[in-house]
Amino acid sequence: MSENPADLTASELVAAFKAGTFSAREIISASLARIAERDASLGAFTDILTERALKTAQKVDEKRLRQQPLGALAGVPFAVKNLFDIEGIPTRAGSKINRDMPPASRDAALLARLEAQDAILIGGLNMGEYAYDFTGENAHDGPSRNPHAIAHMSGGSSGGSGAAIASGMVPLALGSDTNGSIRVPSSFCGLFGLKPTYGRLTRAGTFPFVASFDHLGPFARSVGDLALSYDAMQGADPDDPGQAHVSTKLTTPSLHQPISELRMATLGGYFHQLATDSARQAVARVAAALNVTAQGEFPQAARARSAGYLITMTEGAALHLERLQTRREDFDPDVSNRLIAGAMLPAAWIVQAQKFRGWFRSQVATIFENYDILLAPATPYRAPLIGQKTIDFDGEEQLVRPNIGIFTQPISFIGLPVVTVPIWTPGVTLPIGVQIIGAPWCEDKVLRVAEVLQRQGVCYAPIAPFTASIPSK
Amino acid sequence: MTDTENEKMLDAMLPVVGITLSPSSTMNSTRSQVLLHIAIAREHAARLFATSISDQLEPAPVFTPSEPPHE
Repeated sequence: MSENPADLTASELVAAFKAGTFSAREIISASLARIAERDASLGAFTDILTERALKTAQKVDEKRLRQQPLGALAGVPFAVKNLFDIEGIPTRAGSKINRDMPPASRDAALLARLEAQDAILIGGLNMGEYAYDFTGENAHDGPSRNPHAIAHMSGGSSGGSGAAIASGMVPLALGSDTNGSIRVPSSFCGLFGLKPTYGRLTRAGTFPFVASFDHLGPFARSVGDLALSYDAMQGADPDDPGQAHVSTKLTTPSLHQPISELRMATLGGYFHQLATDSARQAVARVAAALNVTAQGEFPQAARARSAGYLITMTEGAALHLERLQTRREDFDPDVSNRLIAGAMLPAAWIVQAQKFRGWFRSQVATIFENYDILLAPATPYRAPLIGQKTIDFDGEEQLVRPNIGIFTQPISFIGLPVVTVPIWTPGVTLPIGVQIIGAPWCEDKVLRVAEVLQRQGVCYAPIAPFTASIPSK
Repeated sequence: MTDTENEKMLDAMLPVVGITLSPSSTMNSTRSQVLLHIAIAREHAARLFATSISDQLEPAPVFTPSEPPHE
């Protein structure tokens, strides 16, 4: 085990803390030192809560000294995307405008649940403005950079979450995923990310983007950490009317169960045709490791993406209309231009898109009668350069920003649970992710499959070697 | 819809939603970028409407007035 607690996963830290190897104060101090060393180059954090973190660490240390029962995440430092309410701070959601809002009166529900398990909040993380972003670039707070290659995107919109985990600043972070904002940074930064089933986790105390699609979930460097944190966050919350009424289903107890009985297939069609060779090879590597030979296909996946695209434009526009009317100059134009366009679209299009959503859900449900797990690329390519606007895709120049999410959007459109697992190629610096997709409410199955892949060494999430220099423009 | 029709739609809707844009049509102007995103949206709408959907399908999400009483 490393002598530096900042190198450990959350699960390793819990064991080390409970065994007395490190105090919570030592763990937090190591995390803060790592942040001080690396964050200036990486742009992961927007708020570092040193005083709060050390105070909480002291309380957790005192609990251990008094031999009081310790939570499942005791001593683990974590950070949250800055659309999560943090008591005493305005919830900026990546924007300039929200900084003028009053400070949050209490912590977001998921943040509170992690702290109830004695995890320790270190700070708030950078994100794409109002979550309408796949790049991790923020016009007000600067870009979050990919720790594996700092001239490249971290991915977004949970860019700071991706950068903070991949650089070893914290072992656990929370993000949100509307159309891909956990899965894209996981793919680009080489991490494990969990997007649970839509409606599984409470969204109370977070700034929204698209109520029809917003999910919240964890990033980590191990599947065990995803399971541990996800289990801690489950449970009904009367403060979230959008939460589904489903029983808690813990995933940690079954995480190491065999997966031989799970029926698996690779998604072809749209998910193969639109992928680059690197994305296809990543899926092929996972399929080979799992002995998957079957292929399935989502009917009309492109149409699902289109429907999701339109709903996103219009729900986002409706949410921000007043801000667009009164403070448009304070938006990132890349965001406001899309929102203004969204405000123009006919309502009939959106009702049609929502009807199609019901149809698509029932079609995909028939696929899950034959398969438990489906595999697909997370992103069409590895992380582009920061600021890159177009990319050569099969000989055609395409816009980067809207197309990064072509494989994530049809999946979250119907709220399926996904773990993104990182795949590396020898000699290639940047990773690329694969989506392990399950039927609704089957987070346990997707986590079990990801755990096997990690145990086999097919997927792993190393801390990136640190380089302090930011490339010149 | 042609570019001109997109412009007419934009000009008609902007006052309705209470937003004003400068009339500049240079490539990187707000107006040009908004028109670009309208054009992209129209491509997505065309794909969405390419085949019909049953009238019987409920648009998701379905509104629930309140929790049904436990019987």
